[in-house]
Amino acid sequence: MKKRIASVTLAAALFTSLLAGCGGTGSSSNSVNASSTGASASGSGTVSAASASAVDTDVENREYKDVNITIYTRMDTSTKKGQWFTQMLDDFQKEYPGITVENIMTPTEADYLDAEAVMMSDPSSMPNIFEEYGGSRVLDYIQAGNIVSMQPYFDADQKWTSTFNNTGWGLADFSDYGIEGYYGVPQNGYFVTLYYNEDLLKQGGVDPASIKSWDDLMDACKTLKSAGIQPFEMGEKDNYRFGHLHTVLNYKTYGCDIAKKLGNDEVSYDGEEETAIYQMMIDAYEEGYLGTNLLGMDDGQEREMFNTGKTAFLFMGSWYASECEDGTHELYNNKKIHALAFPYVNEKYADNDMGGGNECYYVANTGNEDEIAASVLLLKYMTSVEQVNKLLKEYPEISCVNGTVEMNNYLLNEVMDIMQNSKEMRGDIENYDTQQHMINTVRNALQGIPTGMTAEEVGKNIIDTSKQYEG
Amino acid sequence: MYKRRRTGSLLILLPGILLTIIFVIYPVIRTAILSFESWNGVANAPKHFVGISNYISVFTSPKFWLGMRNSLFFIIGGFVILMPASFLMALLVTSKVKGSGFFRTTFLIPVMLGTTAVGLMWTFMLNPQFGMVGKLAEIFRSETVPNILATPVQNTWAVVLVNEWMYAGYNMLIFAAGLVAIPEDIHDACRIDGCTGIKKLFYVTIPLCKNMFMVFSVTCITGCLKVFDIVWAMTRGGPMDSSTTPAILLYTEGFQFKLMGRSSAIAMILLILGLVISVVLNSTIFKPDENL
Amino acid sequence: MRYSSKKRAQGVILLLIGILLTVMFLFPLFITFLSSLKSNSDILLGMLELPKQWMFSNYPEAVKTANALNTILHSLIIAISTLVLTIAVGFPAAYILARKSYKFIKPVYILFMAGVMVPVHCTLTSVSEMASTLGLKNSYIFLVLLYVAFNLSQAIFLFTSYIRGLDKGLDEAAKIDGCSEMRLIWTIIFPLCKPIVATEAILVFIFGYSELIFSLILLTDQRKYTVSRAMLNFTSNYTTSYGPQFAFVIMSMIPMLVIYIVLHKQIQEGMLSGAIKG
Repeated sequence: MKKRIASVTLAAALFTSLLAGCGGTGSSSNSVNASSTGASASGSGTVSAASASAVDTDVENREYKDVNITIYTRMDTSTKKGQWFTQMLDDFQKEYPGITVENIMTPTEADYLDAEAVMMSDPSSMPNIFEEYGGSRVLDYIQAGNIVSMQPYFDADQKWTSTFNNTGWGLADFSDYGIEGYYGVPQNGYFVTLYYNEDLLKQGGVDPASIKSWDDLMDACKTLKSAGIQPFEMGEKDNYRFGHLHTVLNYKTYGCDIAKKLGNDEVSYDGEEETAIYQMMIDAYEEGYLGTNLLGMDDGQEREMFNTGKTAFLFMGSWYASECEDGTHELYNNKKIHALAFPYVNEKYADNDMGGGNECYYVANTGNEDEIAASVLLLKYMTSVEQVNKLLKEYPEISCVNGTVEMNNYLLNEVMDIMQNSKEMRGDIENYDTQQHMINTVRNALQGIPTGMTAEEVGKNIIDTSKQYEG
Repeated sequence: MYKRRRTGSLLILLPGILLTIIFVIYPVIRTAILSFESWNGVANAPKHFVGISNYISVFTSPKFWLGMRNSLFFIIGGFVILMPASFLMALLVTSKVKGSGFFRTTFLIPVMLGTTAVGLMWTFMLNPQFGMVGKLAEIFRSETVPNILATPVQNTWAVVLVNEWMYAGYNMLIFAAGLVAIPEDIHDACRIDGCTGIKKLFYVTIPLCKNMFMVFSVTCITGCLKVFDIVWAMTRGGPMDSSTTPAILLYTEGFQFKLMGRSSAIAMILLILGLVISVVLNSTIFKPDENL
Repeated sequence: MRYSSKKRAQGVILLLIGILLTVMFLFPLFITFLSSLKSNSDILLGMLELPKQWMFSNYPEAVKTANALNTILHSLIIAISTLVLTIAVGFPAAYILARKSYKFIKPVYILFMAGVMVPVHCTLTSVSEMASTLGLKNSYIFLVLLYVAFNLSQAIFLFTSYIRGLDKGLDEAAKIDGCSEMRLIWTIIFPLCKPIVATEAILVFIFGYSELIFSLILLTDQRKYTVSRAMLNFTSNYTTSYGPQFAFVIMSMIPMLVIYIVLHKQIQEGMLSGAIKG
């Protein structure tokens, strides 16, 4: 009996909020009361309530009273971006006093994902907003009905939607899996390039302009090495390093289409095409170009080696250029570091690149309409041009929202110029696979290269491990 | 009278029982159920009953057996290195040697640092490029610098040794508590009988510390079966799973691969194995002495 | 004469071993301290070199980043409450388990033993669910009770084994005197067990002070962070500031050391006293 009453109130709530949505500010206090009763009585079971077409998209003009939401991110207050973020939250709460935001920050990736997995395992502990990277992890959440579709909100506010560029939509788009509409709000993007140390290249007698193809790069490495300069010092202890190298080499050899082909098994991880890629990596490794202590170094140390002028090259995403803004970095301050397009293997695919959305925010479906509306409101506030400008002034990055300020990070601007020439971009190649263990499996197997595995063994390892996760 | 006594005893046990049931047994029961299901760990996602197939896939997985082998390394290290070392340290700090109080404090410092800090420090120390190993190779003019943490088997033993280094002080405390419990008159009797040194150690001291050796054995075996923190801090189980342990697998299968059922099956296997081993130890080698 | 010189030689050997071990145990601490005064690039150049640039600013930096004074205080509160509760609940229970022979003793003992074996990670989702359903996230009481539950097994296990090794005559005598069970436990048995209680106290304290995984999922309010939770703030998305991290390690150790040194006499006495009276 009680349940039936609840659903009636809920229907009423939806109706009134619909009216409220059309009529602007009118009658909103009524709708708040009604909808909060409806949501709390119906609990977490009403997945459909939030994703129904009759969503109150006018989140700005809703009345908020004692609404508490949590936002779970990997922000770090010791960086300029983290400082901007906390300031933004303060401003938001001042502007909307009815909303209190609890800010949970866990900067380290492993701990972040660990706690996220725990929080998302039960409806009672889900954070209202969290940061993720798209892919199969988020897909699982969507399929379980735990994420609110952003499409109605994007549709309702074209002005807001039009401020976004194309960089990050990939993280919010799950149409490859048959799910329509955008499910997240992308915040920033990345683009993988090659950075070099101008002085070291000059010293070794290498002209950066001559590095166009992978073979050119290998020749440059040879010259540098004989001049006693270490080309790369990759931190493969963090196994995403070879994971990224594998991805970018694939795109530069076979074009971005290879991701789909690998995903639907048209191309196999132990097939001819992939073995050739492993072999390229092995050759470079065996010459000592990629590093001297691959498994003893993590990505932080890799960057530090480059930053202190001990290596000539660094292969990394654009976040590296952004982070140069933080702290004291002599080489950067003296403009000694520059960016190059990642060399092609097959000239045909010189404009195929690794990149795309980096961080995206998702709203969890807690079943409480006030919380959902407040969460959307916060994300709209966060991605408003005004806030984005504030961020880009402090911490230039590849933003998914077009800012209107000049970014004074010369290195990032170089990266963005290179990005202009790119025709096609994709993220981690393993994420296009239907099997979600693939990213861990492939990265794990690639770690075998510095322990002396052959190309065939790497491929076999991936296939063997995959078999264990089938079914 | 008997009944009242019994109720009294039960009341004393009650708070402990309640806490254990709520925080330990309840999660374990849920894990047990989950170990027969397939679930991706996502709220509102369906769980399917799959029978014992999670157990089958664990037992047929080479990774699991590799992890078990590495746990065995930890156990061997525990009995061959940690036990004698911490017992010796306990003898030292309970003896009347000058500075035993100071030693006691310093021996405890590693465990006070916490696993994260210890892991960070030792990965630096063992790093071929900037650590001690590099320095040593320089001194001996060795051409190649070994990368211990990246070489299978070697890396597990390195973590085992760091683990012993960290927990030696901790186990020393347990043995020390046992040593000081030996009544003074026994020491007197030994002196009169002329039983000293090594002879006294093996025929008097060690047998009288039996209970503490049993505590050590059980905590060591179970601790080694579920060792996680120090491995995670130093190698994350890699490279290529070479230094993995069952607890690391439990974590990665559950929270990275999202196979909560399989992860739960590993947890149950560890739990049952630990329980069986300690009950066996308890009722055979370390059978409580009724005469005391 | 021969006897005493032999004893002396023994003492010298023990002392030498002690010094050797001290060096082994203190060396990394020294390295940590040295690293706490270095810049990132100095740390990456080598462990043993003196810093090119003495970064004393790492300390104020650490205080700021980790809100060090507060987090250390929180960890202290949690550790001490856990310690007191664990002993208050565990000690009497251990006595009953060691001395009584009712039918329920064995199952209860096995119940507690099971607690020693449970891998922490398999309890995470259940515990988190419990906390959020009951609205007890960020509650220190919940966290402390949880810590007590996870330490109880070990404590009871240690205490029971120790009490079993004690002479039964004392309790019999006390019982004849008409001493109540609780009084017997706290006034007669407890003092005898000081060495093991002191030992366990140290172990529980260290656990409560440095536990990470539960505090990671249960403490979401930054104002309530503990030491190890706050430590994560040093390793950001893309950069790691090693220097302040090491500085924080040093700072967070200080309260533990201070407590240890202040209570040193009592702990020492506790650890060495028990038997002499027995």
